[in-house]
Amino acid sequence: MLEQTNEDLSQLGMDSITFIHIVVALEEAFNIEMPDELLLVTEMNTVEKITNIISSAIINAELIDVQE
Amino acid sequence: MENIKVNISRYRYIECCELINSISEHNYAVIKGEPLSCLAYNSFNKRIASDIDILIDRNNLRFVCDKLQDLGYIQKISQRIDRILSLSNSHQTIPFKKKFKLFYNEIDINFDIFWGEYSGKRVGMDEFLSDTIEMDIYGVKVKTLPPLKAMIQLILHHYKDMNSLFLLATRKSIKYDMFKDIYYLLKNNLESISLDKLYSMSTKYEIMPYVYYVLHHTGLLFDDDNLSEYISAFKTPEGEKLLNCYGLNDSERREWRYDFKTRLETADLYDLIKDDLTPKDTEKIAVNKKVFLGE
Repeated sequence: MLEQTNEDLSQLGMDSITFIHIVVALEEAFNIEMPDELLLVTEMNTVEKITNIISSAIINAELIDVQE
Repeated sequence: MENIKVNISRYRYIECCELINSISEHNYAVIKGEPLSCLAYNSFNKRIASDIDILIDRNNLRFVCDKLQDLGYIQKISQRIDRILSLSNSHQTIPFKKKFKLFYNEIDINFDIFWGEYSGKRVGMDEFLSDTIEMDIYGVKVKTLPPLKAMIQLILHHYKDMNSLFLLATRKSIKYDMFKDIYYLLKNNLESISLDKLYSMSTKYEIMPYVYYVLHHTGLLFDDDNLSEYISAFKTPEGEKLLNCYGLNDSERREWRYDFKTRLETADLYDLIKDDLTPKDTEKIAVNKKVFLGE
C-alpha cells in the first residue's frame, strides 16, 4: 500500500515493462502525450512526479486547443 | 570489395548531408562508424558500419525525427507503446530507414550515452555535445565527439552491449572488435585521452566502475603497459564487483556461469544466459524484440 506520494515506485515493484503499461494507460485515460524528455523511469517514479507531469500535459493540451 | 564498401559509406554520408545541415542549429554529433574509424585507426572504412548514428539531446528528439520524416525516412512504429519503449528503455530511437537505388540508409538517433534502465546521475546531452569537433567525411562536414568524449561514449556503449539481456539474447554483443576499437582509440590518442583527463571526466560523470569494466576486458586481449596503467588507476571495489556479472541494473544483475573467453568465443550468447532468465526477463526481451526487431 502506497504510504506517501513521493515513495519510489520502482522500489515497490515497478519495472521497465510495468512503467510502459502505466504510461500508456495514463495517456489513454487523460488523452495526452507525455513529453519525450520525461519518458524515463527515473522521471516518473513517484505518484507526485506522475501527477505533476499529467497536470502539465493536460494544461499544454488545453492551450493548444485554445490556440487552434 | 574494399572500394564497394568505401563507396557505400560515401553515398550514405552524401545522402545524410541534407539532414546534417537541417539539424546543425542544435548540438549533435555523428558517433561510432566513420568518425570512430578515423579517431582510432587514422583512416575511414576500417570498421564495419551499416548505419549512421547521431547523438542529440533528448529535448531535440521531436525536431530531428520530424526532419528525418520530411526527408523521406521511415520509422517502423506501429503503436505509441513502441515509441514509449524506445524512449524509456533504450538510448536510441527505433531506426529510421530510407531506400535509395543501391542501398538502404539507416539512421539511428541516440539521445543518451546511458541505457534506459540506468538509475545513476545522467549526463545532459547538450553539455556533453558542447565541444564537438568538425570532421570531413567523404566531403561532408559533420560534427563529432572529440577523442576523450568519444572514448566515454564508446565505453558506456560497450558496457551496455555486454550487459543488456535483450542484446545478449538477440545478437553477438560481445566481440573482439569492440575491444580493438577501445584499444586503438586509446593508443592513437594518448594525449587527448590521458589518464588524468579520462579519470577526471569519469569522476565527473560518476562512471568509474563502467570504465574499469571495459578497460579490464580490453586488457585481457591487449597486453600493453599504458593500458595496464589505466586499468590499475580505475580499479575500485565497485568496479570489481561488476566484472563477472551481467544485467543493466541491480534487479537484473546476476553472475555469469561462463568465463570471458567462452563469452567472447561463443557464436550464440543466448545459450549462455537462457538458464538464468526469469519469466519477466523473457517478457522484456520479447517486447524489445517486437519493437526493435519487428519480430
